[in-house]
Amino acid sequence: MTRVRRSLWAAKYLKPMLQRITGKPGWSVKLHALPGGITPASHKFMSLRGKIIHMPSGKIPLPAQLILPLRQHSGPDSVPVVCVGDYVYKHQLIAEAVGAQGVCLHAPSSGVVSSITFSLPAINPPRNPERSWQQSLTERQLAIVIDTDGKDAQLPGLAAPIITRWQQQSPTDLLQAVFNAGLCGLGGAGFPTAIKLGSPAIHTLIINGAECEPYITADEALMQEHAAEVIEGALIIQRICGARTCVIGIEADKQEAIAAVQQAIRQFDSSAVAQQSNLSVVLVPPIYPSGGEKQLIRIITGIQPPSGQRPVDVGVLCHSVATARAVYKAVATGEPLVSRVTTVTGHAMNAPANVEALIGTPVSHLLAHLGVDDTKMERLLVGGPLMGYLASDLDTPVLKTSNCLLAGSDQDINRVASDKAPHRDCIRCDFCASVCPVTLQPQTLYFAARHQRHEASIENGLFDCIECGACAVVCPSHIPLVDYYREEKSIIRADNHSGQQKYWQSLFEKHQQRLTITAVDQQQRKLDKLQHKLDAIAAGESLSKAHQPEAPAPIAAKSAEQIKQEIAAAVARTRARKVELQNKSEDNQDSGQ
Amino acid sequence: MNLVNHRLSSPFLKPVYSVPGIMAAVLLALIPAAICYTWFFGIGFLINLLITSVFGLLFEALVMRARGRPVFFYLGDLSILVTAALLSFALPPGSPWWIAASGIFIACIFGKHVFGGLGHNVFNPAALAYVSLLILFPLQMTGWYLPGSGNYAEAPIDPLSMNGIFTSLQLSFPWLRDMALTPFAVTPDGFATATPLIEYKFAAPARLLMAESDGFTVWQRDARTGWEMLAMSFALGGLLLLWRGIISWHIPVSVVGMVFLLSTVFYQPGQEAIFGSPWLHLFSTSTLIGAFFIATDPASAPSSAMGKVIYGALIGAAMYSIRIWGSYLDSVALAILAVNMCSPLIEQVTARTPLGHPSRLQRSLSVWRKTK
Repeated sequence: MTRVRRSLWAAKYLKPMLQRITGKPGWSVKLHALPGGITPASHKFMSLRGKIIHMPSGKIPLPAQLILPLRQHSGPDSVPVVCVGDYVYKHQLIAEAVGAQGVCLHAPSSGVVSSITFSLPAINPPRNPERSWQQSLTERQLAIVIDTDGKDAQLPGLAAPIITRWQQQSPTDLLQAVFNAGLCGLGGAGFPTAIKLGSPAIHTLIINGAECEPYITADEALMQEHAAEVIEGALIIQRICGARTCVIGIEADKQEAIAAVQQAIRQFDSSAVAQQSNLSVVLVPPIYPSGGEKQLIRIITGIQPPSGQRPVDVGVLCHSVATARAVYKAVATGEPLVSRVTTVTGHAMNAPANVEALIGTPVSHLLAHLGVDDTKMERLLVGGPLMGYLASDLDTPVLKTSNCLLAGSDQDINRVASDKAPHRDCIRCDFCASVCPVTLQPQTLYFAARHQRHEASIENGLFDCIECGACAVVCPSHIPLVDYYREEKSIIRADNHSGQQKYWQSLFEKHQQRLTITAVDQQQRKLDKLQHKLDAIAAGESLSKAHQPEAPAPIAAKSAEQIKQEIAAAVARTRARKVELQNKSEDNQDSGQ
Repeated sequence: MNLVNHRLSSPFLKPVYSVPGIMAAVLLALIPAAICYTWFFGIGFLINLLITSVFGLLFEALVMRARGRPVFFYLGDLSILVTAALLSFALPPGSPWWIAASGIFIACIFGKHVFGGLGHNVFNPAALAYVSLLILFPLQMTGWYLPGSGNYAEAPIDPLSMNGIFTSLQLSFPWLRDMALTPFAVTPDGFATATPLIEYKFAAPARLLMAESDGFTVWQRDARTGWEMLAMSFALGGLLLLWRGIISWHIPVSVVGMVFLLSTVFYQPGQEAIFGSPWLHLFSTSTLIGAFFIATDPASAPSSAMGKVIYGALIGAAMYSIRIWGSYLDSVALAILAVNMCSPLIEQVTARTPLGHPSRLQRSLSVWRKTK
């Protein structure tokens, strides 16, 4: 048995205490406890041996094709502004943002648009709230495919204006520059950065350098090599959102990254901006999932946004270091988001490394040039082993949100238990509750989700679950807990949708029913009137006189018999009409049932 | 890449714990106590353990067959062996084989499978089986037939000698007596009337003191001084479980703390025969096996930390009350069964609120404000 749960208290309490005593870089501010969490084996050293490999280089050349899905963020698809056969330059806008949560898309390299098609690599961020997780596993989406020409040519006029003195620019201009660069959160969720930055009343900015998931080192390598860019990006973000303080949270076991960031801050200290910015580095405990957005905010500030609200609603903005660096690039060099640092790792790789990969590069291209052992590789994961998703195809492109490509061997990945494999019953050991970072009771939630008691699920915080997977990792019965939660979530979402449909349908049916009833009543009233007339005739009263007292009474020319016949005909007609209507409404009810 | 029989969604990390692993850890933690028990009270314990284990596996397999489940998959969780081991600690060594067999039958069927199997049981199966046996077979369950025990001056047979072993076998399987391989020499012991789960009320302290004045020490192999050693070995096993993270500290600490608190409050020096000393309550009785092994059964205990503390404190209070003011000799198993019944309620009342939700206090305050 490994030390996943047992060493937790040491990571939480003992190490910080020791570091305070020994004076090593420790907790610089008072931290708030993260409930739960696990400490799995990190495997991070594998991909940290060398420097970041840049992409159009001797080691990894340009791929022949770049596949750029139109949706790499959480929001609606971007709309292509190029046609098949167009020649596009590097950094040229190829798809425009639409809707409130749109993000632009740029060409990572020059070449010809060969097709705009449903790309074979069918991937999508699986946590897209609009889709159920099963859908997102099998979904195919529209992508622009560029056949590169190898020139990497950039049309000078196309480049966005470089903002050299960003300190003097207005936040609105800077925000526009960020929007034009097509930025979305690079940490994994892919929320459009410009929208997040535009939120009002932000008092604290947190730069997330707590890359807590095993295997992933993209942010760590970035901080080691480009700390100055990260810091400057953070300052730009702070200028845009107007936060009073800026905190960079880094996991305490990333010593080199901490040193690099602290040195970069010292270099900035001389400038006036840095002195105003109230910039500090905070070491957070190396516990999974301390790098989750809400979790990091809670650790650093103690603020817990109410259920269903985002952190920006309570005035805290959180961005990953990768996003901060992309903001720097967008503003200070005018370069749109066309590449990102991705960790290519796993025990199936001969040389795991961090790669500054062009967006759209097929994964197989990266794997081939870094050396993959096909016989060892069991699966390819995009993202880490705890929150990543499965790439169904090796031609999957690198997306804006792909922070890790894990070519997992038998050693890395749980290959035995499939989603459908029988698992043991829950023994209510509460291991899951002790590791849940949201203080859910996963065992209670599991029973509610499994038996589809939707109200109980929601009451127990189903939609607060961040699907971090800690509960499923420690479950001794090997219950795929997160799968149950995902399924329950998608069922409830689908129910809500069909519930609305049912509501409108019922309104329509009621309306129809009311119309029928009114029509039948109308006919009944007519019948009553005619009957009244008949009675009047039988009583010997003059109809024409009763109804038209002042007219010269042309009807009086008709005999009483004639009038009786006419009335009888009208009664027959009306009766027939009423019966017809009633039959019709019964038919409707029958078919309705 | 072969997609069949693989996980399709995260997490892809290998699981850390397993049910067989947890059960094996509990079994390992019981080894010190098993050695201690055998050393002090003879081979009869091991015979009981064997009978309960074999019959337990048999009944479990039959039930699983009847329920149409994969037999070996469910036998592999080892839970029935833990139940068997705990039950055999509660049985008097030297009781006939059918006591052990019917005990494990009750534990398996009525303790576990009528509720839906492992994880669904309301009561701890071992405690339930033990209390049922006590009611069904009071004579056999309170008799203490032990080679070498009894009045130590008159008991010449060493329980671990060949003679002792044969006598133990004859006790467990009465038909062996007819074969008359060895002379059958057993003195029924009026002193103990006890299994480790039955407290021998408060005649015992006097006997203990007497044994000590006679020159017996705790290391000497004698029934009266073995109790402390046994309690210590249970505590040792419990600490192993705590260290490995199999059980949390809440239940053992609250049970032991409550018993200690009550026994200290009510203790009057010189009145050991009525109230007993805290030492006696903790170490000369079965408090520790209850606190570390039986009350911590996760299926029948609440799961939140606060719930566990309340649950443990209730068990401690019930133990002490039954012992002092109750008329039953046994307290631990009865106390645990009684509080097991409260467990779902405790679970519901102490369910913790997810982060970002209003706390229980805030919710009740808002309700109160509205009604006002």
